[in-house]
Amino acid sequence: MKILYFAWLRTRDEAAELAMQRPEIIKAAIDARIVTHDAPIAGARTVALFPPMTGG
Amino acid sequence: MGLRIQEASFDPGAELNAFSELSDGAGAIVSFTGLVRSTQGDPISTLTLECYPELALNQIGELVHEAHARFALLDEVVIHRYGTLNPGEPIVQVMTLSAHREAAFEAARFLMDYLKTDAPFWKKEATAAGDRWVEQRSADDEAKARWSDPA
Repeated sequence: MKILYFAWLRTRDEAAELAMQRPEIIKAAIDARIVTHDAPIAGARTVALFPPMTGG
Repeated sequence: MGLRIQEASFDPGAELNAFSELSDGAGAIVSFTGLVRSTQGDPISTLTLECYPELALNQIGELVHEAHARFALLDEVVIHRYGTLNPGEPIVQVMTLSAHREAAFEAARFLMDYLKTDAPFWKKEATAAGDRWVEQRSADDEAKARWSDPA
């Protein structure tokens, strides 16, 4: 399983811990689909964690 | 329905010309282009967009399908760049085609309001004082919320 971090989250050593503590800020995706923080990761190929998006 | 997520630059005028060729039953085309902004008071040298491509294709693909159905569009195209861009360059282009103008205008607005908050890109500006990550604006969340207002 691969874990991907994006943007400023990537620069933080405790990124995963921070992500889990702030579900209202850090979003998660499993296999390129957005999920809530309580989604099961069993069988996931990739898990991604990222801060608020600033596209467009 | 067209969706392109690419690093390469594009010419919004050429894209609009190509889009305008498909038009059975169409009476209205709307095109919006988002540019890299730099102001004299707070200039940036470049804007770098980080991207999660697989998620972008899934998210924006679903968004475009939703717009097509919700506004009964005849066709629509979204082009979004990532990578390092210079001030004034196009970042994103949204084009909509419909029988009458209301749907084309509304759908283009809907797509942009959602692209600002739900498209997996992260912008970083390079300035003389260093790099800084762009933050979400509350105005963008409010704009998106309007589309779910039951009233």
